[in-house]
Amino acid sequence: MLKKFMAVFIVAMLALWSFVGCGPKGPNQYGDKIVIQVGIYNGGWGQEWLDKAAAEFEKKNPQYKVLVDGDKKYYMSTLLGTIDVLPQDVFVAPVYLYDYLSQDLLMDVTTEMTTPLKDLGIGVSDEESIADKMWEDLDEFYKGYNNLGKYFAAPFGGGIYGISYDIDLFEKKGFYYDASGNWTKGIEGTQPKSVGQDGIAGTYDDGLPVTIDEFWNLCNYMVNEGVTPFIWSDQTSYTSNLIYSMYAAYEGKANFDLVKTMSGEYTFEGDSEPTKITPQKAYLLMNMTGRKKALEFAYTLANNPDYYHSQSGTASMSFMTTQSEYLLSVVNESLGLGKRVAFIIDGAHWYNEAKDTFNDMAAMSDEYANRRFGIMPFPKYEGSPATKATYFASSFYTSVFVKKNAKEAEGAKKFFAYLQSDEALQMCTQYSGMPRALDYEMKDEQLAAMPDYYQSLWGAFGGNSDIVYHTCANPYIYKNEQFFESDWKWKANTRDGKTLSDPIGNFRTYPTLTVDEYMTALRETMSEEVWLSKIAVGN
Amino acid sequence: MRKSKNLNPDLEKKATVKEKISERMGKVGRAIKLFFYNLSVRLYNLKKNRKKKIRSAKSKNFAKNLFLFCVLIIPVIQFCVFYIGVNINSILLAFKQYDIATGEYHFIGFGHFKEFIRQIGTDFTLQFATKNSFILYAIGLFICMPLHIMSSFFVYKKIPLSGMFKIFLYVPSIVSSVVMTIMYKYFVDRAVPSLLNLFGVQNVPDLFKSQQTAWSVIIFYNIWFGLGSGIILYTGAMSRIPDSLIEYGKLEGLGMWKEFWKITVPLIFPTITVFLVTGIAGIFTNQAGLYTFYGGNAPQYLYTYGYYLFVKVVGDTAQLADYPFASAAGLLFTLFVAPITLLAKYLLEKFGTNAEF
Repeated sequence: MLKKFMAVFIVAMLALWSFVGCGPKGPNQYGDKIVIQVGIYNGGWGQEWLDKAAAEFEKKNPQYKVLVDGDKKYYMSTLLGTIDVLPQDVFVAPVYLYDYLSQDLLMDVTTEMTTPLKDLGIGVSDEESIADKMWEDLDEFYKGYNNLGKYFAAPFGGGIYGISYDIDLFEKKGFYYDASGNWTKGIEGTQPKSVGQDGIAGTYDDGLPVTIDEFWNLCNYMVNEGVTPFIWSDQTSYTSNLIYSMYAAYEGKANFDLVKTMSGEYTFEGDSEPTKITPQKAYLLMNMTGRKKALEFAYTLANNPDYYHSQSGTASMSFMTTQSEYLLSVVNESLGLGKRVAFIIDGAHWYNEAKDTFNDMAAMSDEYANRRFGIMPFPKYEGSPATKATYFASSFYTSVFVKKNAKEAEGAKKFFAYLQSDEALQMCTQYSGMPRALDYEMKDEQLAAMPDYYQSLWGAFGGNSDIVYHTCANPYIYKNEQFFESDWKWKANTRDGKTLSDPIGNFRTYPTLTVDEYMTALRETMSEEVWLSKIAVGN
Repeated sequence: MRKSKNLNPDLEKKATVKEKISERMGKVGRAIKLFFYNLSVRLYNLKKNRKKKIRSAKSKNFAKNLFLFCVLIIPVIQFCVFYIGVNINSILLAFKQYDIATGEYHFIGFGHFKEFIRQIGTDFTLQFATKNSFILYAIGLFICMPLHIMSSFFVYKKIPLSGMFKIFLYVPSIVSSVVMTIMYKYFVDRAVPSLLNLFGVQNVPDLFKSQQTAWSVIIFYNIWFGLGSGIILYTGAMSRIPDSLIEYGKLEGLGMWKEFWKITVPLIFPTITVFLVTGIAGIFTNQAGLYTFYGGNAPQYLYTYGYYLFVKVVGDTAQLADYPFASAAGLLFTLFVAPITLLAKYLLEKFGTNAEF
């Protein structure tokens, strides 16, 4: 009897636990403040900038409390399936916006985007609206792709791909060019550096090689001086994007954007007349000269083992391991254990990702504290139509948005607007290095407080250069984002059965593979038939 | 009786404290027992005073059925929604196309099926996937399975060093797969080339990237790391074999190999049947651990169907528009594999050894 009673009692208690979460909401731990929850993809750029932006927003708007959660679950299709049930209202995440929009998951933020920020009551003094700061073609995408003329998100930004180099090493060994084409350390008491590709003295590219011959000359000099030029990880997307960026650097924005617009003319190598490019003929762009030049760069690099660290690209070289090897090469050199490495091939977010290694090295010795790095523009091949340094930015689908069923809609929209204000944009660049894909300026004192690498990124991004990307309002592109992020770049199959997708890796793996063979494979793989099957999806 | 003198006063003090504590504990225990006794008496009296209903058999059955219904209703609903419902939806999805503009699915008939069959003939990725998936199955059938059975037999027979052997084979199944993958990567990338250099082999290619070696590296990983789970199951089956049979075999002069073929294999045949049947079903779902090594960026020539579908649906670049195509592919695989699996099961049960013990 007692046992039966106890059994019933325990089962009843267990059942009652289910209702623990019910009941009216009591006061939260933040008193009467309205809590806005924000989710950010915790990738290479980090969330320090967002934490600071949240703190600043709270100061200006004390009725709000912003809670930031950084996690890799705020990403693409993973977030698509869970966004409705997550407590977060505002997101900074890589997503295929069209999927979210078609599922009616995004809040209309047209008012926040088109009203001058100073009039939104969020404590900022920006005269412009967010829409005023948008780059023209991105504005078309964010407003135009949904055919409603409304805004549902704002662009965040994307990593640019360039060659990152060790400034300390360049100064120590004298790897800079001076105006006469000789080597210099470029520091006080030595020959001043050359003006670089932009032709302006005192900018981020001073002393860096301008032509491809100068670049290989530099690499040879490095090898003779006991320095290994390159290191890269097993992430094929990084090397593939670097070579793709090289292709963009050759062609320049006007030609490269033919991929986006699929409308215009291009004169292929060997032709005397330009070819008209239309969506049906866009597959011909596989034969652009810039692709060939980029492949030549990859070929030269891959076929000179002295130019790179022997473990580069191997399976055991994760991106974190590679960053550590790169940074610790200075220690290895001092201990006689290996050569110092000059360049790393990685996304521009590598600097933020390697913060732990930087901190560990600073703790090791003052000599390794405050190390300086920079990004260099790609060297130019002869005949390049590009008029400025050009960088390709991937991951431009990372956006800032508010979900449709946001719990604290008004607060969420205000915070969303704040993140696009000048001070929040500046915070993002200052603390993460990421230049946002909007028009804004950095103050001198902010730039002075940034590490050299971040200043270099700003110089590359915001200076006298062009940034190119695939994100656009062309339905053939945004309806096939996956294709243009992967297959379109370097995927090909040769006639003898080689499968190609990473130029540097492929030239290393197949010593007999030539640039012409790769180009032929690209053309034959992206045939008219394959292309039209892709266009059929875009219609 | 005279009390014996305790020559150690501290011990006497400790004993007194101990006694006091146990006395108190005893009192508390008795109080608790008394409380529950009183409670049970009261409950009994309450029940005693009620008229006892005489329940009919029908009422008892109803109560029993009601109880069973309450216990099973939630798991059944879950099964209906998350298995039957999801699979029906997936089947219907195979006949639809996702309209990115409206977010809706439109019926397009067999379009995806035709496209998938066409791509098998033209798309290099799918051609590699077809070849690799069947190679993987053949390796599982003709190499892994005999290896598992033989290894299990050695462990079961406790041959010298079988204990150490068991540990080496079990460790990959116990340690995190991420850890094992990283160790394997380092081993193949750094240790193997160094070893080959010692034997005079120079210019060792990147074994994970070279089209000539990458597949072998993946196959070896699958064979080695799959041993542990197979051994656990086969040794479990072998341990059920009655000792009396083994002793009888020894008396009849059966050596170890004859014992293996004449006694062990027939008696564990039901377990072998399970592996054979599920192996067929796994032809189109086996990823060969590719995602662990390469993420979503495995080289085309390493693709299997399992990896292809996984990346298409769950990978970084998966989009809603890909789901119907993947669904159609999955349905085609099912149509191909299901009858073969059923046939294999039927044939194995009909013509396999039916020894019972």
